[in-house]
Amino acid sequence: MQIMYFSRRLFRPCLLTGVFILAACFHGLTHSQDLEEIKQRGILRHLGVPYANFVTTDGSGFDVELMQRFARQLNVRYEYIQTDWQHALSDLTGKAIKVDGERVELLGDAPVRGDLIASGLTVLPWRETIADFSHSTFPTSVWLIARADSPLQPIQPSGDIQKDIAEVKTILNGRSILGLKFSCLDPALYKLEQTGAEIKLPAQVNNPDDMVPTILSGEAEATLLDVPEALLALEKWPGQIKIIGPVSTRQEMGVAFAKHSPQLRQAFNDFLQRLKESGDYLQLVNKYYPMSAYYFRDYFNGHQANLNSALPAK
Amino acid sequence: MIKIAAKNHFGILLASFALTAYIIALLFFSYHSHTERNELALNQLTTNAEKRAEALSYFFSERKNDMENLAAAREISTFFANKALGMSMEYGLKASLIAMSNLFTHTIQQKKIKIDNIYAWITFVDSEGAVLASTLDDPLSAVPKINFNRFLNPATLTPTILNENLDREASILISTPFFYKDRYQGQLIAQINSPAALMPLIDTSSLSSHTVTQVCIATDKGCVYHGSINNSLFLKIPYNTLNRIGDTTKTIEIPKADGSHVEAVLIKTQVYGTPFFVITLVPTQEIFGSIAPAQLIAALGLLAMLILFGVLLGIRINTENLVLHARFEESEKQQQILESRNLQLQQEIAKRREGEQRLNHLAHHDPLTNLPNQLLLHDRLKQVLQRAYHNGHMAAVLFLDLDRFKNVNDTLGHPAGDELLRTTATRLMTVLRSEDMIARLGGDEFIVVLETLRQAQDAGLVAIKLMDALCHPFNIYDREVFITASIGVSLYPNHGKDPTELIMNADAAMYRAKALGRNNYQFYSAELTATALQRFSLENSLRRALERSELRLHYHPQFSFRTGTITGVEALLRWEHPELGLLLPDQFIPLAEETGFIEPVGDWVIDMACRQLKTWRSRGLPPLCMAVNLSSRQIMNPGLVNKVLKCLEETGVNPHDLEFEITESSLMSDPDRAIAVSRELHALGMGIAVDDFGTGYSSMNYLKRFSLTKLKIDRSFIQDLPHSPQDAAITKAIIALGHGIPVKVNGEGVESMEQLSFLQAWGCDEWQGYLFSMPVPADELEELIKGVNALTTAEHPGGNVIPLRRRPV
Repeated sequence: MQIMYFSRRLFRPCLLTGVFILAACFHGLTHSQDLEEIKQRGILRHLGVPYANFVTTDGSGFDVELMQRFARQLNVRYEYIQTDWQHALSDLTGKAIKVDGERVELLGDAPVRGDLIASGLTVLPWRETIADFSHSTFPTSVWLIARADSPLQPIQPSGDIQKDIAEVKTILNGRSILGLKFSCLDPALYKLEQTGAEIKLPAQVNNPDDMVPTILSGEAEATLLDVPEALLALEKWPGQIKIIGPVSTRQEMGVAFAKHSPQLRQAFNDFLQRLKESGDYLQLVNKYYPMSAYYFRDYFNGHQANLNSALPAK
Repeated sequence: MIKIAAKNHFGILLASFALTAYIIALLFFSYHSHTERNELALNQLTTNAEKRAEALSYFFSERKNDMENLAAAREISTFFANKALGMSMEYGLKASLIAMSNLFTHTIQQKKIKIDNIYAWITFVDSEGAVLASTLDDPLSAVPKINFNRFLNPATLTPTILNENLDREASILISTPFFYKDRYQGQLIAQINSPAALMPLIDTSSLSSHTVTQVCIATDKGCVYHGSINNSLFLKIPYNTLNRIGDTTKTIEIPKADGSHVEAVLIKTQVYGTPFFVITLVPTQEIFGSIAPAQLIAALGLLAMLILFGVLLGIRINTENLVLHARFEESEKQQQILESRNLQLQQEIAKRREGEQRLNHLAHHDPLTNLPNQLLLHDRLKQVLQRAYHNGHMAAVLFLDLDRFKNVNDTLGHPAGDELLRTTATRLMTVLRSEDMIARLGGDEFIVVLETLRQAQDAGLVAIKLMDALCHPFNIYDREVFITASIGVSLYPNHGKDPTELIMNADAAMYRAKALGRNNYQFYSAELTATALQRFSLENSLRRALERSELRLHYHPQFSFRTGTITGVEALLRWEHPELGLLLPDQFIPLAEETGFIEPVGDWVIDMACRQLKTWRSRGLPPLCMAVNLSSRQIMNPGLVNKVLKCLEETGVNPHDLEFEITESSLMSDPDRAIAVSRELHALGMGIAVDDFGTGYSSMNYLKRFSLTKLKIDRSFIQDLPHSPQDAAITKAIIALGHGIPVKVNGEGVESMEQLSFLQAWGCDEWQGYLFSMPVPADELEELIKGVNALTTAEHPGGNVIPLRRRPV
């Protein structure tokens, strides 16, 4: 009985470990340096930017906990390395980057500070040119949020997202809109400058968490905000802000990897898949973004298999 | 016993009365206590019902607070704020609704009483009756089953408890209006779960009584929520009667499923602040117990009756037991007495049987030797003869008589004689066969019966064996005694056919053996019969001799060596038998001693001697000392001295003139008696002479103690004097002894001058013998005395004259 007990107990981990080792060896023939280097180093370096409940200023948050679990799964120590939206990809890729809208220019080498970026990072086309993304980790889109006393009135949904975006853009003329460069809240991504709106990208505002307080302070009339953050803001400042309408279609968030870390990315995708299948991932969402869990419940409940298809085409 | 029984009986009666009184008191107090307890229980029940209603009222009050808090929640106001800002459901407002729904869900999850959710669902209905958010189902879908329009009530500003039939089921709802910026936005509605609402009623932890069976939150229309406590029997509350119940407490009959009815107490208590009241239903059995007061009284009464009956029965049984016990004890006592008497009787019977056996043994055995006596001898001999007759055998009777046994008795005493007889019997038995028989006939006579004798000579051989058995000396009291036996043998059938004849003939043969010198055996012959008959005749004649005055006294003179005169005479008995002539003492004195006839004869001799002495004195004869022989039997007779005194008194004879001669054997047969008699007679002045001195076993010590006056040397020592040096020495010694004591010494049996001279020479005091004269009758003696005295005086004045024999024997 004792032997059988140990056999059953050890069989599955051994089998998984064996499969994992075989897979690693197979991949190691082509992309051997990224994952192996992390394991040799024994540290997973998580590049993060404080942002809503993804990465909080106190070093916790949805993505922090996700990466910690991934590090444990890799059996390496977790290390959080804070960066900002402007340097996050440089810290990952080791290349200095110049971004203008969707145009990216590599300026030269930069120190590689981390192995991946997980910080509610929206998968954007320009980002995909310099980094690889994991499977979708969170759905999102970008809404226009205005102060309650703003003359801007919420649009009436038409049932067509494109029409709704167009209607939003029709009412922006002359309105001051707050944006955040190097992020999904960059108005240039949505060509808002063409609407006649007054685009405001104040240098002191470098975090999406600062957007609502900035408009409430009157520096701008409205701001771009991704949905998870907007839903939090509605709860945080009830009656003080209002959602005018969408400025983007459905977007996905993901974890960014250096192009030379395919094994690490694959390892993360495998890890993410198992986490979702186990239900732990949904618990993690509920923990940090309960409203989003309900708001995007179609995404989080039962549509995991189609997540990849939701990703924008490269 | 009867007293104890009566005492016990009285005690039991007293105890029973005390018990009865105790039971009556117990009945009274139990009834009183039971009634009070019932009232108390009812009061307690009512109080508990009020407490339950109060708890339920508090419960509903709490729920109102819940609704107020919920209405004040930010999520609801946010929604309406966003809505007021014009936000669309698609972009933002839906999130507010989700937040509202989450709030409701969270509230349901948070609000619990124990493990039960207080709220079944919470719903917000807008002012147009549309569901905005609800926990009932998908908040985004409608809840068509419930028509929420009827709940819209902007007029009532505070939460309201409602009783509504939802989906045909009575429910308790709580509803409160919601205002945003003083504008009615809709109604917040929640359903309160039945278990949670009933919990304040069911939870009895704060109550002192748990007797409630069933509770119900009801309206006049019926029960809304109901529950039972302690899983008791479910009773269907008759809702149709609730309207008619005006009182708060009522006892009603509730039908059960099986058709029977249960009596229950129904308590109706209003719940403050609600349209409900609490119905508490308790079976009376739960309140008052299974036994009603009347039933209790009846039960206790019955118990008391049973106890009393038991006590009375106990008394009766006890009495019967006591009587039985007394009877049993009496019976036992009587049985013990009977057993004791039986035991005594058995002991007595055993004693008597033993006594009879002893008597029978004594009757048939000789006590001295334990041998069969004459009676048993005859009986057994008879049987022996019968067997001999039937078998044609020969049998023999041996008559054994110890020789000179009398001497043993006379010299060593009767105890020694008895011991000798016992030892003799033992020795004789050793030589006999087991089938032979020995008996003691009496005295020193034994009879031996030999059965199954082959020939006559065998009897002789047995006789020889018997004599041989006695040839060794007997040690009697540390003395050697020699004894022999003479045996006469008679044979069956030759010498007789019956026991008497055979014994008699053997006896005759024994006498023949005695006559032939003793220590031999003789067969019977016809001649011996004649001798025996002669002896028998002599015995009979002797008995008549005194009557017929056939006895005579002859006197043998005794001479004094000093004076040469006759100084005394020895009276000697003669029997002048009419047929046999004059018989000497040897011929009849032994027979007289055997038959006991010696005593009257002896008395006659003393009397006759005294009378003769008186006669002689009266006739002028010189004083003579009359010597009279005393037998041992006479000495043993305690009346001897008195008889002698009487004779002396009657005859006037001087006691000094009377002398008694006693043989050594007579003296020693009972020395103490002889010493006493001798001293007594000597004290009276009479002389005591020891006859035949030297032939017996006199002890010198006794000689000192006897009050003797004379020793008479036996003739056996005299007859060979002076030629036998031994006899001369003995004679001289006796003379010297007598003078040394000092007593006179008489020499008997002097028949020659030599003998006379020897005695005179050695200082003997007196002599007596045929040298001078044989014993002569009294008249002849007178002449002799006269002649001797005259001769002595004439020829030898001064004495020392030896008179010559004047008459030959």
